[in-house]
Amino acid sequence: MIHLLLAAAAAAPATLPPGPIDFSAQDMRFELKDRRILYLDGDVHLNRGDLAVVSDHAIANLAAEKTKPPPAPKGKKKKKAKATPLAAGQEIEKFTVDGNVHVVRGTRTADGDHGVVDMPAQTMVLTGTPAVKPVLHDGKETLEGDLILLHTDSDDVDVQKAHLLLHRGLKPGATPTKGPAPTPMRVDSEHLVLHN
Amino acid sequence: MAFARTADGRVTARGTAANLDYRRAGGQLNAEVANMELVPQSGSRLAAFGLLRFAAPHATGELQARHGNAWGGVRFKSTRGDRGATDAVEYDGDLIHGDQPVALSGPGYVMNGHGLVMRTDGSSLSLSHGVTGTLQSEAK
Repeated sequence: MIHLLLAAAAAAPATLPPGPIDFSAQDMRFELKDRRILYLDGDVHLNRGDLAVVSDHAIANLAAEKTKPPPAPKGKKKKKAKATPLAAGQEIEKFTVDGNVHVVRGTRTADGDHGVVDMPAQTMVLTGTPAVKPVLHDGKETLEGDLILLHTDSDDVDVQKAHLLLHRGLKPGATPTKGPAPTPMRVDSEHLVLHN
Repeated sequence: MAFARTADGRVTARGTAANLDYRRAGGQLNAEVANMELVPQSGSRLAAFGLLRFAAPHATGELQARHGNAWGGVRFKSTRGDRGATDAVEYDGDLIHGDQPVALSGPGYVMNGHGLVMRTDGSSLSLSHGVTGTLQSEAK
């Protein structure tokens, strides 16, 4: 089983680089109330590094306001204050995406109905509907489950009630031989973890 | 020409204009090359922005009706580092809105849209008809 899982993760992309989030949407609304919330509606595209997320709607939650640093000691020259981000010192903490969610990262793609991107934790939780479960594609191989947890920093994948469909030989690194393609193999598991 | 507005003993707005025509009876105002600074009330939602500066080549307003227009290239800057630019905006009660391309930027964000609606108390801002932008993320 370990060989299988290693093989499935062999073509995984590199760690997600740091950086800002580029976005586009038809409309955007920014609410500056108790919590700062950014709403994106219509053909929403989010890009960070090589991670791309497409959905019908997205909500960005901004992180709680950071506490001010202690005052500088007297007598020393004041440093220029660091600029505060959008809406009084808050950064994007979490994105929630809804409706026709499509994720692309390297050779992997994933589809679902609802997703939550946790920026500090560098994770994305993808879920579907009772009728259509979320699914992760890597080439011909598919991984379906009730809930798919993508770790964007390590590329590990954690799946609840997983159904993995493999289209490759059992021994990783083995020289491909001519002849019929390997018979697809289905692996069902209550909890499956793919380590990169 | 310079002008200032006070409320409760403090200056809430001040500005300059190359030409200013103000009809006191009807509260109608016409200005050319207008620059205005708004001083947000301490503790308000807008206070985090610091001083708000607006500039427009042309502006008209009806003070009593709380209605006005600015056009010819409207610019906005704040002490915090926010900037905005659009061709024209309309002020209508509690809203500022426009249907021209708009560019906003500031610490941690850049946004572009093709329409703008903003509440004057700073509680919400909407861009529409195709929005693009960049946001700072929390992740390291």
